[in-house]
Amino acid sequence: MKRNISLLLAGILATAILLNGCAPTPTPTSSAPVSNPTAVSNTAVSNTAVPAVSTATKVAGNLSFLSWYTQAMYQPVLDAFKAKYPDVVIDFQNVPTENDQYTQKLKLLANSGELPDLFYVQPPVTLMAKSNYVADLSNLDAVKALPAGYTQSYTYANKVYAFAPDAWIGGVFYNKTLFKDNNLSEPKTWSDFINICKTIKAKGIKPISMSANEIADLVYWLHNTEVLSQDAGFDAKINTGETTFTQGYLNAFNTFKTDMVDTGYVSKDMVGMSDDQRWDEFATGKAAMTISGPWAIPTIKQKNPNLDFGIFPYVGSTDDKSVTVGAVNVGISISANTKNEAAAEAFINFLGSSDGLLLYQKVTGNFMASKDINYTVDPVMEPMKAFAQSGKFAFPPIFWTYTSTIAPMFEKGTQQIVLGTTTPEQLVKDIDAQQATLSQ
Amino acid sequence: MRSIKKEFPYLLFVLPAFILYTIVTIIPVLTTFVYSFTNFNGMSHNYNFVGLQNYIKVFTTNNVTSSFINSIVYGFVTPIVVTVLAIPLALLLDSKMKTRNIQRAIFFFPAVISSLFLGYIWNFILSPSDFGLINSIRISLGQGKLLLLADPHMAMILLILANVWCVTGWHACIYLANIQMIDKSYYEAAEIDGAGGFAKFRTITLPFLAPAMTVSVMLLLTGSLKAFDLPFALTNGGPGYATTMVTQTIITEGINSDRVGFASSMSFLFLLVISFFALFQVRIMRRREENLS
Repeated sequence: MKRNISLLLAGILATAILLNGCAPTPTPTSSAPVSNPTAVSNTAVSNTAVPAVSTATKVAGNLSFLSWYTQAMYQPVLDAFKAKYPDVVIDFQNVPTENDQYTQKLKLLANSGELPDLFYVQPPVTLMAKSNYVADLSNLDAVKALPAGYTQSYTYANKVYAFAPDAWIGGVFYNKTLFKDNNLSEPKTWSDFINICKTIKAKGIKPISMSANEIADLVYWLHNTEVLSQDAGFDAKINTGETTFTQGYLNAFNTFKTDMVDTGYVSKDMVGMSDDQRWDEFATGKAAMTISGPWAIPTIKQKNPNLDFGIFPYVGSTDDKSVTVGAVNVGISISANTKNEAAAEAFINFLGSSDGLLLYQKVTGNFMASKDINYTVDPVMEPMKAFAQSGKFAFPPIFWTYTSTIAPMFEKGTQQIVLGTTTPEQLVKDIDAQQATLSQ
Repeated sequence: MRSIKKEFPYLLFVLPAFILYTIVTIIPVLTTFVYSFTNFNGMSHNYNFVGLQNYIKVFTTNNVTSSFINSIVYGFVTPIVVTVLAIPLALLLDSKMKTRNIQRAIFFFPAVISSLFLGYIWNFILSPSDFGLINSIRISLGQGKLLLLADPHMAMILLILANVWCVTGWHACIYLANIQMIDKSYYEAAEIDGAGGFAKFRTITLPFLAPAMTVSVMLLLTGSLKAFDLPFALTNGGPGYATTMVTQTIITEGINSDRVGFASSMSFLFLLVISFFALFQVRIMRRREENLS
């Protein structure tokens, strides 16, 4: 009897499996290497070409939008678009960005063929473009108006796949009162910065406070000023194998170790600190400096409304090598299978108009690529406006094809250097080995 | 056939749950197994069969092997410490104290709260910054601060202790329920024979707790091996890779890195490891139950 029941249950199990279908039959993929998103690709993409978004139809109907930002933040943009295109109904959805929730949701929708008409993407767009999930936006007026620096991150095989008219620019927040009390001024070179750290530390105050996952920002700082200031496309070349992480980052890691770790300016307690704890240290004057961007200002002001603080950019070995931290913001893509091309395209072109850009700037709080609009940023961030307009900002991880794997290695690796459990040489060797494995 | 006809009404009751279990558990496991032999990236429907490459990578990738070791250390030490603490706690909660009901509620309380939330609370308590609870107390008393979660060796110990704090009360309740089922006449007979407290515990309480211990240790073993939320919230796998568990590595090296095939191979191997240890543990402890009875 037991055997019969077992057989029956096994039969039901097999039927259920058949009804739910097996995994799709694997099909051959192109063996072409991942191309440099900014260079002309000579390798054929094996999938069918994605048509550019057409411009003919009346702008009406439903438009689904998966947003990085909340509806409360986006409402003025939605209202203005509605006023211009009253026949379009936007189905707005927001997914929180913490702990990769937005990215996971986007991947799930992509895999199940249910991408909304509009959605935000992060750079690089290589995988989305190769998988034919995103439409080519190169011919949209809004995209054509953007400077090259704002399309580079979203370009693959010479086509632009996302619209991002803004960039976040950051730098080193510093406590103006502490600086004034110690007769210090904003550094012009890396040596100036180290001298500031020395002076502050001698007074028993932590020169700089970093959270565990952001200690690597100090390495990116050194890379920005010493490598990217001379060759802005260096990190993109790593993807194609033209260069390696060792060639670009070993000096940065060594300088980080000798100038920041061995001197104690980056202390071991930082490898266990959360972001909130780092802000506590900076806001209460226990640390004189920290690295971040404009999103941190409300947090700092909330923790200490009386704190007088400013910002200076990343500085290099000479005063002409200043390339601060920053990157083009997340961009809006149109699904390659959108059911409402005209409305999706109209939305992006609306965002790219002067009115749209002004409203969008209030959503993101970032610096804008366009010099033609007058917008305000927090007074603390004003010094960074020049960097936004000159394009002298960079955040290396966004250029790496395998940033999801490599960036955590930088984070964990810098922690290990601080703890003394690895060396710069070993770390870059491990990173290059991982890059080689992923590139196969 | 006649027996199937007879059992059919009962099968109908089981069928919905069985189908649901098949859809949400069995099919995903089988699909994961299939993906583990491919280079599926989680997005594109075009992928290749790559044989055992993913499985080979599991044993040749440094971060993956170190996370397996971390998970095994965490998974084995936690059950031992919890069991050693939960049984005496159960005896204490069974004693005739006026405050025993309140004490039972207090010790059970951590089991009610989400592990993720508890992890963030312990992160604040054990933070190496001046603002962590322990360090702020030490600083106010004129002492230096401790590295705590910033020390790679201490981080694992503190993680285990935090987990022990979270789960001991719940497992003590399992033992308490079993203790309350032991017939008091056994203890009376032992007292008549002149047995002391420890002798009564060793010869009566412990044997009767053997079945509960088997279940409790199995739950602790599998739960600790699969842990994600508490280590993620408390240390985020750091400092460095000191407390990175397999579950976190599966997500960071696999899912987040668009290497679902690789993540699937890690998951499936880990499933085999957990199954092996769980079956082995249950077998050993069932034999112990038989010996004690």
